[in-house]
Amino acid sequence: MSDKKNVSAGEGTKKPKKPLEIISFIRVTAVLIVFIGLPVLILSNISYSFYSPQESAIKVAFQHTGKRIVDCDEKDLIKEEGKRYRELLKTEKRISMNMGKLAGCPRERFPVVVDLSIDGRTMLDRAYKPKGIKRDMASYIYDDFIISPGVHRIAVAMYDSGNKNKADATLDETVDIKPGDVKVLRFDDASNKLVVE
Amino acid sequence: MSNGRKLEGPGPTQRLWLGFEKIINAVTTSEYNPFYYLGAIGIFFLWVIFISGIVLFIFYNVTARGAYDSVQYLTVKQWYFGGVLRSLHRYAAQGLIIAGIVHTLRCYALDRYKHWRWLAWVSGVILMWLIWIGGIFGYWMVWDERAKFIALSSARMLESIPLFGMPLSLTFASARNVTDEFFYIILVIHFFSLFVVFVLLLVHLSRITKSIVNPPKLLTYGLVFLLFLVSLLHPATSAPSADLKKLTQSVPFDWLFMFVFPMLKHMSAMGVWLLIVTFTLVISIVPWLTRTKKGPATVVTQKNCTGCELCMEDCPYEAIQMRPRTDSLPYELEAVVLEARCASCGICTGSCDYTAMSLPDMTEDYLKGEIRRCSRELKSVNGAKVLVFSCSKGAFEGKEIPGFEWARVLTLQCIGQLQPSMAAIPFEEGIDGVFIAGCILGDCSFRFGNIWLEDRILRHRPPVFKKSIDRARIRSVWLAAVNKRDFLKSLAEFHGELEGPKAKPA
Repeated sequence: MSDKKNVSAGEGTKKPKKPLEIISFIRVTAVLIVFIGLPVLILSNISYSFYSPQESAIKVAFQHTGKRIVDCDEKDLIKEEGKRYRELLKTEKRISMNMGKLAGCPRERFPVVVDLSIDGRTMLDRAYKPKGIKRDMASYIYDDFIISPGVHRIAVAMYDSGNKNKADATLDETVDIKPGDVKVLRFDDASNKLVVE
Repeated sequence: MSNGRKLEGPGPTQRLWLGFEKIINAVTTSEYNPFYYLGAIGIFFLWVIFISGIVLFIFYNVTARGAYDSVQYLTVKQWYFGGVLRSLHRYAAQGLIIAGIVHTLRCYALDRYKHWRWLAWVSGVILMWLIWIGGIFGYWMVWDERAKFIALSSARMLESIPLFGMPLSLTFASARNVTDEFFYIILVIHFFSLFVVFVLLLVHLSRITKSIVNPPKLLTYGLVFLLFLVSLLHPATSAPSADLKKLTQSVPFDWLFMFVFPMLKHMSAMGVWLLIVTFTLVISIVPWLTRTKKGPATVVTQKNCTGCELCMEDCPYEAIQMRPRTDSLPYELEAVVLEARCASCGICTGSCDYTAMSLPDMTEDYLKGEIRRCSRELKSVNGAKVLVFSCSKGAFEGKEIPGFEWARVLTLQCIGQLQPSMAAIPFEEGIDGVFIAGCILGDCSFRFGNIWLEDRILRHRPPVFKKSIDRARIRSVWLAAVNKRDFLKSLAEFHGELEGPKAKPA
């Protein structure tokens, strides 16, 4: 605001242009260095470590679709209803498809339950709900654990059919985890197996 | 000195801040004090970010595999151009954060955030977070170890809000999940945040007349020099390439942008969100939490208004609008005051030659009466007599100055309230000199009061001071509230000059 060149002066008055003063420039730059330059340099160059070098991690990360709760054959229902519709169309003028009957086919899926124990200690026992308004989509499984490096026995059981007595996939493996390493436990759709990478 | 208004000078916090700026003024002069141009400095940094960002985008490879290499190519192989540009981009962003924080602190310390300024305050708070978001996504784009840490921490925070279907952390669990499309999304968010910042900036400045969007030339040169200096001395570099099979170890940390993430070590992601939301809400409602009583808005006496638009031109907060005449007077327009925006500073009364603008508790008639009364009080004093017009936010508060029996002080809400016809009254009453003391140039509490008045004294801005008034008998000084000593010194010098052999009787 003090720069009066920025302010309309009225009556078309022209104010004389000031020559660039080198001393003023040096002084202004010095203030800028102290109040902007130094804080920028200091605050952007402090090393920070969120994790200790003696930490490792195991991530349980995959996407899996649980089985349907009710084994409802939606395709068959549509086929049946289509047949009925065509038959009625031959004799009656006003008919409609029974959408309620189609919508009545439950599409909800079981949650995917993952049990994870490391060296015999239970680390995870969690049910991951299927996504979607009708709970008919895949479950997204993600959890991570910080562990100490070394050799660990990892035991995993996954249930996707609502029966906790019989696991749908299991894994029992001993892994050597180095400091700073991240091991990812996932379900491989191709081999239908749980794997550690 | 009012028939209803209790004029308040700067409080301890204001004095403390002004004291600090006084030191800076001693180095830079008030004309180039960077603390008077923090908003403009921020906008300057925004332009640097925008321009350097466009050039960097040309060289940036928007793929999961190529992002890091393209940034490394610029930094290492093309250090003289791309590397410098990258440094300018980053340091301007950090400078913007610093300028924004200090700007906010300054407005708070100087009590310039309440009432008519609430929109600028609230939009400023949102602006700061938007700049922060844009910067965070900028760091993602490099896809180095630091970016990985930011990505994983941000993902943890975002997925704690039950809005996202897929946990974002799943994306970063394996390199094969990080797709090129993901980098496009990051790029779009980074660009879009800057676009929104520019739009919100318009809202931020919407109620500020003649907003200062460019720093003075010399200050701009200083900023350019600073950015190049830092960029060349300490070029912005990347951490090692992101390796999702490893935990992020020690990385160069930008505390200006990344300060939130270390909190995740000590509290849940929801806890961090709660802290951010609470902090933002509290900061946003500070203008209402600390609200004090505002003076009444200016009242327009339409029968006196000629529609000359001078008041609208001079109002620092766009509180005056002109509308077609609603009465039978032979003028096209009439002035209307928007009460909510009126700062009750009285600058419009100083710009009105026809007594159309008036503060209900500080009318022009009342002020003229006070000028006459003060002038008469000095009649019995021997030697040169001085009437002082002082700004309530300026260097002197009070009516009489101990040891200066030849002077009386009339305090105005803002020095811009001084209407030229008022300044002529003391001379009619036998006063030898008029001493005008307003806020320091560059830092008027009501933005332009001191500048408008000085222009009126110099007859550059209507309504102008009368030609018949001997200019040697008017002295104007522009001082901050902490410059009381300078005020007294200048007043004594002025009195000495009036008493000296050259001074002519009125």
